Amino acid sequence: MNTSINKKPTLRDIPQARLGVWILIAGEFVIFGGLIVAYLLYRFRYPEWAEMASHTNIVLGATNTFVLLTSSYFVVKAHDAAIKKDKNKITLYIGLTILSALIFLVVKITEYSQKIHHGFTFSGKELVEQGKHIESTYWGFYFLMTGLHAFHVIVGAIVLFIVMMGARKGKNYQRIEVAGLYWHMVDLIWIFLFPLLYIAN
Amino acid sequence: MSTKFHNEGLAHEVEYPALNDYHGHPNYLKVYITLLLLFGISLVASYLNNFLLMVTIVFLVSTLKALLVINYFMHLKWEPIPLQIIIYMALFALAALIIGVYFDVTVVPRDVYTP
Repeated sequence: MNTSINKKPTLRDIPQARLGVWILIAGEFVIFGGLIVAYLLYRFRYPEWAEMASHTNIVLGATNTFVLLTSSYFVVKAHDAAIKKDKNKITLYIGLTILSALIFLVVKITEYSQKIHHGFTFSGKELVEQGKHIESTYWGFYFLMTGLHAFHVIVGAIVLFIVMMGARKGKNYQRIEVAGLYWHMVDLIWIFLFPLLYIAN
Repeated sequence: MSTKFHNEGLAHEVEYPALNDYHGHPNYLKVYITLLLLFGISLVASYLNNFLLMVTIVFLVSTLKALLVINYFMHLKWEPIPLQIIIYMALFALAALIIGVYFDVTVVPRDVYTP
């Protein structure tokens, strides 16, 4: 059994894969952070965006927030099971996380179809035709930020599935922690996208 | 290519968790329930009539939620100090960017530049 140590680790002590994912996460913060900063600044400058923001569906946004927070809990439980090398619990918790990802994507598709049905598209063509150029840019940001995030959800779910299959064979338990870190990052980004797009309107 | 080099190059089973890398873990259920409570607070705050107060509460709550996830679910709290600095520097740079360009964006009259 592994023993706990109190000494603070150095960069040499931690696995390279984990260090690599942390660097990737720092990069992702800059990518999404840049988008969030640009969104905020446009939002401050153009009151027209407030009216557009009021068209987002807070119920669907809140549902996805709950789903992602819960999936983050499942991932840490899978990590816990990996430390105990409990294959059944690893499969259960990663399976639940992947199911959460699928629920998130179904809700997201529902939301997108509603928006597109109302004429709010990535290019904002209908708004541009009405002379609402500034309003149309809102939906460009909305689809870019949520679409890029949904892409990360899909990638995370695929990675978790591959990691789960390996763990079921009793291999590479350390990958669960690394994939889990990535999944938490997906949750972390949504923690800021939710108030930005669904509440502050 | 020597056999030794070849073997080293392949993915191999590693002891997990490594002996010098296990620090125990927090009570995940408590962290999860706290996250749900904070989520509830942000939902209730969304019904406030005062926009500035609502936005302040909601973003403070979001920051708290992010700190809980990053420190307790992602275990950043137990990671090496240089790694913590890298992550917080990225967040600090974003905050500096907002503050740095806020006045350029909000003070310059709209007729000077409109896309």
